[in-house]
Amino acid sequence: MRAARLLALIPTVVMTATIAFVLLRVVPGDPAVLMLGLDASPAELAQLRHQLGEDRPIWAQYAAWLAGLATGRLGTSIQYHAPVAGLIAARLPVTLSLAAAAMAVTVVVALPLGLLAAARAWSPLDLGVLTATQLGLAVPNFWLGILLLLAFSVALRWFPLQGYAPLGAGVGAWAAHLALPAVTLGAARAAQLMRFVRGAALEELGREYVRTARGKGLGERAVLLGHVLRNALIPVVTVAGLQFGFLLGGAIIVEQVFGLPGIGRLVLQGIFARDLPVVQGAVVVLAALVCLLNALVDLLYGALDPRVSVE
Amino acid sequence: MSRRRNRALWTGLVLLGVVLGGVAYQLLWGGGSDVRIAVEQRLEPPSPSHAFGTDDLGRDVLARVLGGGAIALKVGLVAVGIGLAAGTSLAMVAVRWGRWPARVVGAVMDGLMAFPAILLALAIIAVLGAGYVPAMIAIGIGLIPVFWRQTRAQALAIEGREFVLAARGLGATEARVLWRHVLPQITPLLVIQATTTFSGAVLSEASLSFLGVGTQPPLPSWGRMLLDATRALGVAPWMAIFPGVALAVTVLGINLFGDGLRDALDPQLRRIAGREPVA
Amino acid sequence: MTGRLAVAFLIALSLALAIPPYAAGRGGELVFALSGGPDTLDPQRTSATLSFQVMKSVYDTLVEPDAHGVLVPDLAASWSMSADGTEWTFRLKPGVRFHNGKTLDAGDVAATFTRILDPKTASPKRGDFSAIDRVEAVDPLTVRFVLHQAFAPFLAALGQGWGAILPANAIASGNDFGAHPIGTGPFQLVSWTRDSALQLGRFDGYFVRGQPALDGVTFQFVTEDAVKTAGLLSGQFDVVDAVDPLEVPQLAHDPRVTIVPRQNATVNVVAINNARKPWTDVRARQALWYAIDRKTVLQTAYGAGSTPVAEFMDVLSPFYVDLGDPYPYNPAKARQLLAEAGVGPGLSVDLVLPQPYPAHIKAGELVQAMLAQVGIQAKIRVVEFGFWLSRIYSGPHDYDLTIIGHTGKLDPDGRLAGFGAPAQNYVQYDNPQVVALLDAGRFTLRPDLRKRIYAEALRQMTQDAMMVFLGEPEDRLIVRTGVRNVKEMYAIDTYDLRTATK
Repeated sequence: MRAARLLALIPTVVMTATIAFVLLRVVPGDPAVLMLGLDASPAELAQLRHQLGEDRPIWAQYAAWLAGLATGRLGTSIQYHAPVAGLIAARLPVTLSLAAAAMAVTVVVALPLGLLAAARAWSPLDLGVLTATQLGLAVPNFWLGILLLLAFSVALRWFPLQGYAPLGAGVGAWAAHLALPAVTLGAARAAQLMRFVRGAALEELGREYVRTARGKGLGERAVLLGHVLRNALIPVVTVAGLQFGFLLGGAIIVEQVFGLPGIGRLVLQGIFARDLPVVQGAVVVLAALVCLLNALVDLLYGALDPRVSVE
Repeated sequence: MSRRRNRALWTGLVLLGVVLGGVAYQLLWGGGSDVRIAVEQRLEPPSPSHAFGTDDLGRDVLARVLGGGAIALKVGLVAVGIGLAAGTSLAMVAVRWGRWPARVVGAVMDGLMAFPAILLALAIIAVLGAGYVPAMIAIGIGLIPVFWRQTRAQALAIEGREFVLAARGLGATEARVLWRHVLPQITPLLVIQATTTFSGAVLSEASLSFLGVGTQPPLPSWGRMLLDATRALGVAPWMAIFPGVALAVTVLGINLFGDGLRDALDPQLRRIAGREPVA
Repeated sequence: MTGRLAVAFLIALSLALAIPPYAAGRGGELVFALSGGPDTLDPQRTSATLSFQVMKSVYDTLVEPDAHGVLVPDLAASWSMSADGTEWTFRLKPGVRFHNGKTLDAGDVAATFTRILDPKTASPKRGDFSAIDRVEAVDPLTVRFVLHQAFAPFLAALGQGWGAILPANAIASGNDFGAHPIGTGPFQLVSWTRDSALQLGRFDGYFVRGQPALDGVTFQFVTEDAVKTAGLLSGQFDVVDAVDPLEVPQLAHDPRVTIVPRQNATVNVVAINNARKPWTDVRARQALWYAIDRKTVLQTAYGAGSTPVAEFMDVLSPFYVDLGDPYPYNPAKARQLLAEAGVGPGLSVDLVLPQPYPAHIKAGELVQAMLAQVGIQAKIRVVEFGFWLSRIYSGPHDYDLTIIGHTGKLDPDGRLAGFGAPAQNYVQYDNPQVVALLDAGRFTLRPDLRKRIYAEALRQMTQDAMMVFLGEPEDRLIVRTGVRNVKEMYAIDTYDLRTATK
């Protein structure tokens, strides 16, 4: 059953790759001219086009593209004269670190606050949380990022201004470089998740078994953590998992603001430079990542709730 | 219960009212998107003659903010319009299709939904070029699967209902069935979905403009203004504050209004997490 | 006891005094924030001048420009040219070593230029060296270039970054210079995270004693100007290549930083598509000059210290001629000329601006406003630079007006070649006389004669209002106070860090 769910990924990824291919074939502008510069002779341009495979019919190019995807070959970058797969592989850890850190921020902030807000529904705390979630959803992430940069990197100098430090260079440096970007990226997601946790917890709190538990004399905390949390967790996990799409999308902007050399930034530069192989490859990898993460969440959901069978 | 519902709805309406009022004023009397360049007045802080100050070309920031609002709302409306029109009508007619055609369309929609919205918009803009019209189209295309999915689920459910079967049995044309029977049933949810996606579309336009591929100069855009403002943060912070606030207020207003609407239309719908097309 | 201490102290003191002055301030790691990073570290394969900002520290060329643009020895100790100009002979400096230990000899020079001329290398700058027929290694330290014909810009071509000398053994073994650069430069590559940072470490075998002074250089690639400024002030960056002109006044008053002004050889222009109506008429083009307040546009978009120029040449070049202000700002005159050229009010034109160049975009907005004053409706279209290169600069030349900057070159031929022959320049300027002049300039070897030839060509280009020349943007390097000798090389936008200290 689980294997089937993972296998169902493949058609979606193929569809995604096809959409990417179709979209980017329609782009005007000649990649060969971009690579060789303006003084190149027609003969040199023709030779490069042949090397890039652009003189073959569209069906052949599509087939070659899919075949390349299956074997991990994503073409050669026009800007960098290097294999796209390598460029993406180098940047993947950065984007994944950012997404993971942002997810951690989201969960750490949203779960406790959401639960507390539900437990003290309509109290000042709850109203404060509700207001915070509304603001969190309304404030654009790039603006938040710039404000955080100004406050914490420039004024207080607690964090470095930009750039990325890999884990190998020490957890401290890695965390310091990711702190502000993770908070920026996680804020909107935390707002969204907080509302959901609150709603799910409120529902649970209204149920029979909670009243029973309270009747039995169980303390508030036991009720919350023992019962409500576990049951509320199921829809929460689903929603949290669905956040990956937004997370990776938001990463594009956050990487730009904080100068993180991730896949998002690679896509942007590829678009500006009309570097189609890079854009195509990065777009497919990102979309495939989202599919994969969603599928994993599905499996997790199935594991958490034995009542649900994965379809 | 009703007090709470009203609070969100009315707060949202008030905020939106302020924004719409300002935008309407700018369009009717303020000169629209055309804000005069006056180089000798550049970088002036807020003052009685320029309530929000001037930018690095001497343009009145208040007028630019209001002009940017017009563009943001326009892009949002058209994008949602595209998503709604294409997604919903496709879903409605697809109900009568065979298994395989519907599945293929469904697979394409799944493929589209796998893309983070900003990424899809960027890819489409890579093809169409930068500008607010390509941005409208790009965001709109990203919204089609959202409306498709929701409408399809509902339309399928309604198909089996008695009044539809009766209408078909009585020989009503397809169009009539859709228009008089199916559409009124799905409208409430559609309206709510439209409001939710509207705020996301406004944020998407701002994000794309911030990245440089949305609304192009000299047209005002909140995202673009924020991008320009980052270069002058130390010298003219008002260039960054007001567009950011305007954007947040507008999105907040739309979200609150949508929440209030959802509560008013059907309390049971409160739990549906609407899709917001951008991070 | 005290006696021995005193002796020890005296010995230490005299040793300290004996240390040569240049050793003072040695060491340290310089952090340099640049707007963009190299696309590849292979000097023959890069198409961007930007890449050499980093690569200059890793490679050397045979000759290099001094502060005034005169070509002086780098790897070549001396050179001579045959009387007819077809043979250039260079004597190399002895004892120069590559990072891989090999000693420089004439074979390396020959292999280097064979590689750049090889079609398989696909070098974007192959054309600049196409005058070379063959390269001969006369003896280990003497190399001779035989050209197809006398070519005046040849020495300048060798002075560009693309003329970097590579080791023959690495070329033969197929070394990927793009990721593993091996040169004779003062620094070598330590690590490179694309679009993030690049680290160089001192090469102790550098052929100039006492250079480099620094232990290493880290280049950080920072796109946001605000981040650069903040980094400089907080000490995270030691040098920053450029900041937004708006920030300059406050930086000038800050004791932590020092502003090093420099003349930028870039000429910013409003290019006109000479082949499209009504711009085929010289009066319409001249009308544009009168309609645009060039000084205001220049100083608002590119900074108050920008230098207006009225010709297609930078002021520091020995080939610059002072043409005064041939078309002073005069909207009424502009309207009159437009009417004479048969242009009615309300003409709609396509003004294309390249992304991401905020200064050009700002200039475009100003030009649009000024053109509106004379009845021309300019519609701005912002496109990505790659698109601009394919459709505006080459290809269909799909525009009426566009704004771009032309970077400095070591030889006027580099800047002016192609103009006058409509198929070979992006504004499709058509003037056979100018073509003849430029050809003559290319093959004339006497400097004074060349000056006269190019002066006449420049004069004609301005008379014909080929483009509206705005001027050179103000420019500066900003360093933390105490950092010395970060030098910028004339015209070619490259940094010389050999004597830099921190």
